[in-house]
Amino acid sequence: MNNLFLALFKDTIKKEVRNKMLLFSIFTSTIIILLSFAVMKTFHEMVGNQEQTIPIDAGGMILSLMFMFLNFWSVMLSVFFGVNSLRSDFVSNINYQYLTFPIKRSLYIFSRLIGTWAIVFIFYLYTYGFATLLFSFAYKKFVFNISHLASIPIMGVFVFVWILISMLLSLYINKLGSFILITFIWLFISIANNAIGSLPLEKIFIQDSIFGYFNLLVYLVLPHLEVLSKAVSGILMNQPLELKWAFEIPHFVASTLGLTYLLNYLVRKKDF
Amino acid sequence: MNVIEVSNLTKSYGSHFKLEIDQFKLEKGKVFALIGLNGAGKTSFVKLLLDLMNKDSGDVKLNGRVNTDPKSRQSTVFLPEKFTFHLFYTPETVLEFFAQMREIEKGEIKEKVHNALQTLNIFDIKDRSLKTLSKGQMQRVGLASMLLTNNNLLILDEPFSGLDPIGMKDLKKIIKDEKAKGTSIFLNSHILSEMELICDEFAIIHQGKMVCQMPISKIPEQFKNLEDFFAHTIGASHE
Repeated sequence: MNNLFLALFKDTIKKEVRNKMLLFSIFTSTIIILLSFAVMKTFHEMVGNQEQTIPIDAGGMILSLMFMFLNFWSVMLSVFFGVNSLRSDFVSNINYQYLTFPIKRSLYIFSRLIGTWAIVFIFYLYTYGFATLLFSFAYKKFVFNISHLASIPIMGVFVFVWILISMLLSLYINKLGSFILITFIWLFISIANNAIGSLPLEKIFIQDSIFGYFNLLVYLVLPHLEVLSKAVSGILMNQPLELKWAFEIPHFVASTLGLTYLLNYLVRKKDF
Repeated sequence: MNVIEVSNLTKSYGSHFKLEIDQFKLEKGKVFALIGLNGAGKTSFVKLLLDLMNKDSGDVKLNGRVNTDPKSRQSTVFLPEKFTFHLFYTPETVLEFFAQMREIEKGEIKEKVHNALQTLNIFDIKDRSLKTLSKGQMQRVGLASMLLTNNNLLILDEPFSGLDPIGMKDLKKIIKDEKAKGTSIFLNSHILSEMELICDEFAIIHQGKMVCQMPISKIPEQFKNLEDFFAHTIGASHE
């Protein structure tokens, strides 16, 4: 079973690594990081001896901003790859080859899911590593700090969930439709988190409109990606995190497992 | 022993089409052809056999196991009408991947892949990407994928489609050799003249129902050939 998963995982990597969007993303990110590095270096040389006028952790702060941009780009990439991963197999009728091997459908789906996640996460690590290295050169000191390290696993989970949601939608909806729907899902999650998340637990279930109940449904069923996003930003910007961890962590685990189960269930029930 | 057993199988597509197969069996070592008009339900039947579609009701067994069990496809190979795979693969790498997925021992993969490539006369193009291959060469890669393992059952959907005369000759030889090894072969084809020569049995499917299943040798004498009998049967069921 492990060998089969590994073969499918490698197949996913080989397939996605040739995706033009990945090459474009690597190229664009590299250019942006290099440009930022050039600006930073020039700025640092210009201020020269006046270091006392620059905030002590200016390098770290700018790196944090750069990481927030890279986070956004990684989420975009997650959605793109998530939508494309299964859909491209369906469109070219290659899925028949996979599904007639003596394997469970879930093995095929999860190898695609994990393989796609690995590609996006490696891209994310590359951009993080490259930006940190260049910014350290610009500031002639290692600007990476422990909070940046803490944001990496959270971002890993964040892109995983976006890939999962994108894959789910791509089972039934074409690429453009999936992108549009994902934008709405992000909007609904944000609105629901803002409307419900600030309420005390005992008042959550008391809603006075159909929109209120819709927000409640979204809040209860979907992972609180808004919270993860805030957590990553907060960590990077060294801001205090005011989150209800005792509620958020179990909810996140349960809702993500729920979506994973749903993906597996829908794939099992789908006619190819 | 039966390699395929189907009973009371149904599958509906809204209100306009329903596939209903009361009984179907394919014995080990037989070469069988499923024939029918376009839209009769041939491809749906094959997809239901391979668990690519969910049935509404009924039982399907492959190699003695219910077809929802992946192990039922352990020694079953399916070749679609138009074999295709990711175009960056080469014939050699695609066959190596298929060999891994069919759990061939790592040390044996190279040899089996090279043998299959040589048998299908595509060894010389083993390093070319699939996107540079012609339709016939691509189909030969698909045929080569059948030769990697010891099979119990081959399911071939319109296997002669896209093959040149030499390819057709090679395919007939493969079918003959596989049959000699005791492999059962399920063919889905329109080319009735070829089916008549290579099959032991056939069934006619029409408007979602299997209207007859019999050995080729039992075609009544008043019909010149399978084509004649098919036209008569379909015509009769139209009336």
